[in-house]
Amino acid sequence: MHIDARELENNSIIEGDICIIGAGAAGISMALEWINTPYKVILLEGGGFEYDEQVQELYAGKETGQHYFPLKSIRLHYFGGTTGHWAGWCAEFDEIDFKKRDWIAHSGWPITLDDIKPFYPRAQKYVEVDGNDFTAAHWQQKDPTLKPFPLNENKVWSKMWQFSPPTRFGTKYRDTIVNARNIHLYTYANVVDITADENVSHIKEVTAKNYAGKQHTVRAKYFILACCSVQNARILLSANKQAPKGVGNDYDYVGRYFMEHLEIKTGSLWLADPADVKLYMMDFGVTKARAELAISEQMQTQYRTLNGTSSLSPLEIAENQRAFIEVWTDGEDAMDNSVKKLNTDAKPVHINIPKGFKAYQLFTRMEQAPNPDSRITLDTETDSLGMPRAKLNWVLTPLEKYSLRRINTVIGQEVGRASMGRVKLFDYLQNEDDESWPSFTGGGWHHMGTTRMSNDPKQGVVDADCKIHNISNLYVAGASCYVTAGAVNPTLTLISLTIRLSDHLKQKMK
Amino acid sequence: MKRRNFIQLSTFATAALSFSLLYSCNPSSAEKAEALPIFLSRLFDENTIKDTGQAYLKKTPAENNENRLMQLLADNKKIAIGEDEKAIHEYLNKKIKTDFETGSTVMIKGWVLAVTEARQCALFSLIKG
Repeated sequence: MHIDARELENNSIIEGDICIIGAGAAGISMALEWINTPYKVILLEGGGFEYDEQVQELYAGKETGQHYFPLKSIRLHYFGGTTGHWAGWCAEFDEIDFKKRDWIAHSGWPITLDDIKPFYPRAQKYVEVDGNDFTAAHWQQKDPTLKPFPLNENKVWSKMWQFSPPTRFGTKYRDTIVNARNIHLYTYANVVDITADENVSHIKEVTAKNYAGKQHTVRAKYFILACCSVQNARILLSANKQAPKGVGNDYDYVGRYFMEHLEIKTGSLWLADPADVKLYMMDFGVTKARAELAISEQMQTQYRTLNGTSSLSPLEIAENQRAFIEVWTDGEDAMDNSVKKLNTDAKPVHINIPKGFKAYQLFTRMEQAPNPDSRITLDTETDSLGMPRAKLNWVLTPLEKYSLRRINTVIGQEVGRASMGRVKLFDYLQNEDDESWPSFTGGGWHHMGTTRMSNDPKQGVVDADCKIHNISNLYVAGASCYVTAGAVNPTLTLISLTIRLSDHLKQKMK
Repeated sequence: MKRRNFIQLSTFATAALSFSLLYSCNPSSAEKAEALPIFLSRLFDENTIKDTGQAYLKKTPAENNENRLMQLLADNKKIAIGEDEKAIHEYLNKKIKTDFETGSTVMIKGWVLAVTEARQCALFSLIKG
């Protein structure tokens, strides 16, 4: 069922069993899990079914620290959320991502990969990724021409990605959600406030507004905040009429530990013929799966690095390609326009590649270290619905730069050992004392970590079940619960974590 | 059966055989290529090898000496080699592989190189002056 909250009578009261706030990848996945259950599910979306500039503008904010994409356009504010410009990259987290690593401050989840793994197949269905097997051997069995490099897997291994079509949740699941008897989707319902009981231990209701001037109250047994890392923190921090520091923020953790994946060109790989690289190449929209070079847990531990992988692209094409962060512009179709600009600007360049060699650019995607100073706070400026705007202070540390250098050095050592080729690192990685970042330093538009998970209320915002500490019925779905970012894109794992939360709530509802 | 004369060479002799023979006054291009770090000589031209060698010496000035470099390349070991330079190259190539395997590498102008091949470049730059 769909209701446009602009058309409701002002000050309507909406009631249900569970209220999901936000209809992006997490919120829609959660709602899909509840279809045909005996429960009334309220799904609140701030926008409509299409891009709406007036709604999108609500996401505008300020940035300090490391140069970042504009907050206004990096997330999409309509039904389907940021899957509207998602590239569809899916991969599983590694075991090490969940572990406490003594060289990475604030690492260590209260859950392990085994807690998430059973939910990956269900998440894969939602993102339309077929194979449950993320090993290179599986893909080689399907296509014998996909051959992993002959490297020592205890050092460098081929981590597999699979590509979603990509699934646009807004179009793919619109009819399913709208036609579901027990799912009540309200569009143009922006949550701007949370009201709890007098002890702030139980949420009574949330307030939703829209630019038509309507304000409504939503009541439910359970509330699930599923907006995104920036908006989840913004909503919690703004709800400060009963809890002066914001709901769930007794220990000043909400908004902290904002994380991104660093996505940046790091060097070049010069391979001697014959080098079979098909497994590592990608034709966007065609390739179903491909591998990137990842360094093992053993190497990460030995060299005390963050987790990351390096992809290969033909150097002649990649050499002149600018980074997304250098061409990004605000506005509708920001992603499509940026991609077009990248492709228009990128002219293949002649590179003197010696006979018998092929050259590839190494592009590394890597987690950043969880850092309390990298955070979302509230600005003094408010949006048109009266909510304080978000302020992002994105902060990187020397560990990120060291790790980029070391990951690609390990790859260079291993391809050297295998007599396959040599690796050359970019200038900005050559001086170990240089902690500066080049202008093309960017992220992957992956926002994580502002409501981090911990079993200790003094160390995090949500517990291992994604429930906000000391509040009995407020949960968070999505990557804001991440303690560390992992090497790979967050979408598949955040959907898995959401499905896990959904199962947990179903048990509680029984 | 082909006659194989194995001789025991000292460190210095090993390297000297390789480099003095191949870097004689007018070494042929084939000889030159043999003397260079085998893999790198396919990837780098002569000037790049010299530049790499000079950059390595700048980073490790204690090795800025032909004899010292030759000793280091032979690793102060006695090795059995055949009548030609092939064995020397095999020895050095194995050493390069071991360098990569054990993480004995150095970054020169961004290149992740085995210390052995960086030393070969350094020796080359000294000999070619």
